[in-house]
Parts: sequence; structure tokens; C-alpha cells
Amino acid sequence: MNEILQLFEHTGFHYVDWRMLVMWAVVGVLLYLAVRHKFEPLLLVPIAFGALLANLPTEGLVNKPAGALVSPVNGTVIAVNADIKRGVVLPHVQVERAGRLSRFGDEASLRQLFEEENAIAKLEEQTLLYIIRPEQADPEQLQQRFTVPFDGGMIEVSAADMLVWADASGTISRTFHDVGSTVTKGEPLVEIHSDHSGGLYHYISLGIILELFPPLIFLGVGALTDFGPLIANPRTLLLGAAAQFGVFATFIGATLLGFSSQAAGAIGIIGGADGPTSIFLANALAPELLAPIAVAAYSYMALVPIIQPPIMRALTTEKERKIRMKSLRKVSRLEKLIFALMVTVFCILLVPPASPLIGMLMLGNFLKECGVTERLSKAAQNELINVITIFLGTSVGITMTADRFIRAETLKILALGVLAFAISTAAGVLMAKLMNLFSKNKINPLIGSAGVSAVPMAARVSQVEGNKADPQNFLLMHAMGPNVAGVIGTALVAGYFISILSR
Amino acid sequence: MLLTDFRIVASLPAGLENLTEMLVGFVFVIVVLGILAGVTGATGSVFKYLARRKANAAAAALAERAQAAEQTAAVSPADSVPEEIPPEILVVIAAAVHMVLKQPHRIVSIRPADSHQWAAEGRREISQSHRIR
Repeated sequence: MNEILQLFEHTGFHYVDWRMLVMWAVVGVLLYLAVRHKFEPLLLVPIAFGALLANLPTEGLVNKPAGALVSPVNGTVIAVNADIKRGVVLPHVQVERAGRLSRFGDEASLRQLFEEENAIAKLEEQTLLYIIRPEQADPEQLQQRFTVPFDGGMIEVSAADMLVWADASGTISRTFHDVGSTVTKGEPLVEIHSDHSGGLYHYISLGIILELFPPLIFLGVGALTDFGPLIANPRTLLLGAAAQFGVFATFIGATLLGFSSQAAGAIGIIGGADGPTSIFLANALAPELLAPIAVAAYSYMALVPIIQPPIMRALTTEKERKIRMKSLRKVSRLEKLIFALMVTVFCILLVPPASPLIGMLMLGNFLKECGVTERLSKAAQNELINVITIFLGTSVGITMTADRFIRAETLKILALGVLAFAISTAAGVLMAKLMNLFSKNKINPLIGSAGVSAVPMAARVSQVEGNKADPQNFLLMHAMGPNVAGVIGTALVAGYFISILSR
Repeated sequence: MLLTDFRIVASLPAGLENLTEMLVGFVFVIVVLGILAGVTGATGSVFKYLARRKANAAAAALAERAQAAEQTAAVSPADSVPEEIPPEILVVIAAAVHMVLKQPHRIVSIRPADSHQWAAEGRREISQSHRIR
């Protein structure tokens, strides 16, 4: 019997809790939408599968390699629980730990944190190693003092104190600081040794953390994009610009709901309907919100045919929906090459933080259009973008741990995301109507909604809605103009947000 | 103010800061893409002008050749076809006409189509082949 019980202890069943079950249900919904209804399956399937892995007691998949644990702030060490040769064992299921005591809000929950940590019978499972009082902090928080149990005794902490948790399993091989020491940000506090290297997705996820994947996806997107319709009718660039209004409006909404400016910027960009840009910006401004932002961005992109049509119909008359636009002229190869170079130079000079996205987008497009790099263009369009899509999707999914995802703020992000989408759609349609007031060559306002960059889904929605009003009206190519303009516009907005909001 | 330095907006009073930043941002995106539209339009105009000039030159050359052909006596039916159309294309056109009409016919002249109906039909078929959810 003992052997059976021991065997059971080695399995992962006893790690399963209700929050993991909720996340399995979320995974089920995402897989159902992707597989049954083909909603953005290329991304939702890897994201959902990654989320499933994140909510299982995995080993060797996401764990970080052992190494030095560094101080997050300049300050003074006020408590240490790190003896040399002590083992540190992280839970099998990733748990996000709060870095600041002020996040606990009240004394009771703060005391509970320390009691829970103390209650862990096996010493190895205690992962709170250092408490540091920052040099610079809110004076009011610094004055709030609480006495809590820690490492067999009682200590006094302030609401401004920072908690340093072990981020890898192993054995403590060296400590650098004791109570009372002054530390600087980035200075090693303790060295943890382990014979195991990090897990597979620790390394693959570096593609997101180091901001490699989104620009590489843009390289493939550039190689797949034909800017011909945009060059033939450059006015449609304004529709792509107008559709960014939702991003800015949602920023205001998110700050009113209590999100920080950085988080609000990352949430607002969902309205741009551009997955890689959303991930790029979330990672730069609010990495803790990456998972819900990415899921909202891709889910809403998949739901474009459901979200957009009612707004498009509400804002246009039957007569406007029947407007037939002049056929687009043929654009020469040289013109496309000049456009790619012009956009690269102009946008990067204006918004340098957008250079990884704009640079890669236009490199991919130049490879496609120049006609002498067919192999490279095909690689970017197929192998590269497909491989990166698998890695990007699963890396995003793997951040969807229960404790990060099952929060009130996730629901707020999902609500703000759909609002951003709706406002962007409306802004694009209204801009087209505004332009019609001043132009002889009328624009069908239905193509304005394609200014959100969900390529080519948004353009296809314009085509379908146009066809409903006039079956002989072909708006698809016209709608591709604002659609690809939206990609450039969203990348510019991301660059602008990084310029003004990065910490 | 350098366009790359947006931090100037951060010096405004805190309450207005967010709203101002967002307004500046939106206007900035509109202006940047507006300028890009203007420059692209101007480049396009140059290309359109060059294409028109080329087309005019080609039309003039064609008219010259037609005039020369008129002056030539006893024109054979094959000679009435513009020189630009290679014989294999003529065969393809003849076969296509035969397949469509399926009755005795004679091809008198072949001219480039000046409407976009065929292209529109192609686009319609491509569009219909995609399932729109």
C-alpha cells in the first residue's frame, strides 16, 4: 500500500486544483473555436495548447536555469532566509509571486502570506529568500509597519518592502548579503546551483522576452503583403490612420478603470487588431499582462466577421454601401520598391522605436517585390513565419497560468479589447464618410472598417458587406489598401506608445 | 521640437496629461500617414505621367504602322493582325472563341480589351472561393 501511495505522490494528480480545471475549460473553448469554427486556428491552436501545458504540473518545460538571484531595487536587506547548502524547490505548477508587499492591500492578507510561507513543512519549499527595503519609496507606505512571522522569528516589514523569491530550483551555493547590507539594483544576492539546465520553453520564450518573434513575424507578413492597392489609392492610408482612434480612446478608458499608463497602452493596442504588434508592445510596457492581451487580440481578430458588420451597417446608408469605386490602376514593380524604401526611411526617422516592426515589414516586402530574391521571399512567407508562429503561439499560451489569468483584470482587458475594436471600426467608417464630403471620387465607407489591420479578414468583411448591398460591387482590392495601411498605422502607434510610456 | 521627442507632452498638468498625450498621438498618426499618402500620390502621378507618355508613343507608332499597312496593296488576312500578338497567342484566342461560340465564325480583328470586366470576374471568383465566416 505504501508503495502505491508513494507512486501516487510522484504523479502530478495532487497538484491539480480548481483554478487549473477552469483553465482547462478555457483551453477547451479556445480549441473548440479554432478547430470547429476555424477562428484564427494557426494561432489559437498553439496558444491553447501552450495554455494547457502551462496548467499542468510539468517538469523540464518552463523552469528557469539556476543561477544568481539579483536585487530588484537599491535598498537595504531587512530579512534573509538563505543558508548555504539549503535546497530550494519551486512548485511544479508556475506560481506568480508578488514583488511588493503593498500589493497585498491590507494587513490580514499580508500576514497570511508570511504564515503560509512559514507553514510549509519542508524547508526546501520556502522560496521567499530576501526582503529588501527600497531607498526610494512612497513615504506613507514606508511608515506603514507590520510585524510578521518569518524564518522562525518575528520581523517588522513596511508596505513598500520588496520580496525576492527564488526563480529556479537548486541548492544555495553562495550568499552575498546579510541583514542590514546595502544592495544596488541588479547586484547578486544569492547563487543557486543546479545540475539541470532550464526547460524547453524557458529558452523558446526568450523570443518574446527579447522581442525577436514579433519582428520576425512582420518579416513574413511583409513578404506576404501586396501594397499595390494602397499605392494605387494612397488616400486609403488615412483610413488606416483613423482606425487607430480606438487604440487611443481605449487607452483613456483603461486608465479610468485603474490600469497604469503602460498597461493602458498595451491594452489599447488590441484595437489595432494586430497580434504581433500587441505582443511586442505588451512585452515592452506591461509584460505581466501579455497573456490576456495576446488572447484578446487574437480572439477578436478571429471574431472580426461578427464584431464589425453591425457597426458598419449602423454607420452607413444603403446608398453609401452601394458606392462603386473606380478600378485601381496597375502599380509597377519599381513603384512598389520605392514605396517600401520610402516607408522604411520616413517611419523610422519619425518613430525610431517602431523600427523593429516597420524595418522587418518592409524588408519582407522588398524581398517579395524586388524579384531577385525569390528563395528568401518564399522562406519568409512560408518556413520562417510558420516556425515562428508555432513558437510565438505556444510561448504566449505558456504564460497563461491560472494565477495570472483568473483575475478580474483579465475580464476588464477582454471588455476593453472589444471596445477598442468597435471604436476602431467606427472611426475607419466615419473617416471614409468625412473624406467623401471633400472628394469627387467617392469612397465606399465600408472599406473604412478594414483600417483595423486584421489582414485580410477585415478586407473580406468589407467585400461581403458591399456584396450584400450590391452583388456586382467588388470592394476586396479597394479594402486591401486601408487594411495594409492599418498594419503600418498600428506599428507607428506602438512606437509612439513606447516613446512616451516606457519606464 | 524634434518629432522623435514626444516627452514634451509629459510636462503638462497631470490631469490633462493622458488626454493630451492621446490626442497628440492620434493627430501624429494621421499627419504621418497623411504625408505618406501625399508623397505616395505624388510618386504615383510621376509614374502615371510616364506610363501615359509611353502609351501615347506606342499608340503613335501603331497608327504609323496602320497607315503604312493601308498603303500596302493586297493585304492578307494574317497581316491585319497587329505585330505584337505572337502566333501562339492567336491560336489560343482562336481556340477560345471556337469553344465559346461553337458555330461557324471568322475572326476579323483582335483588339486589347479596354474594360476591366474579365479582371472583375476573376476577382469575384477568387472572392467566392473563400468561405467568409
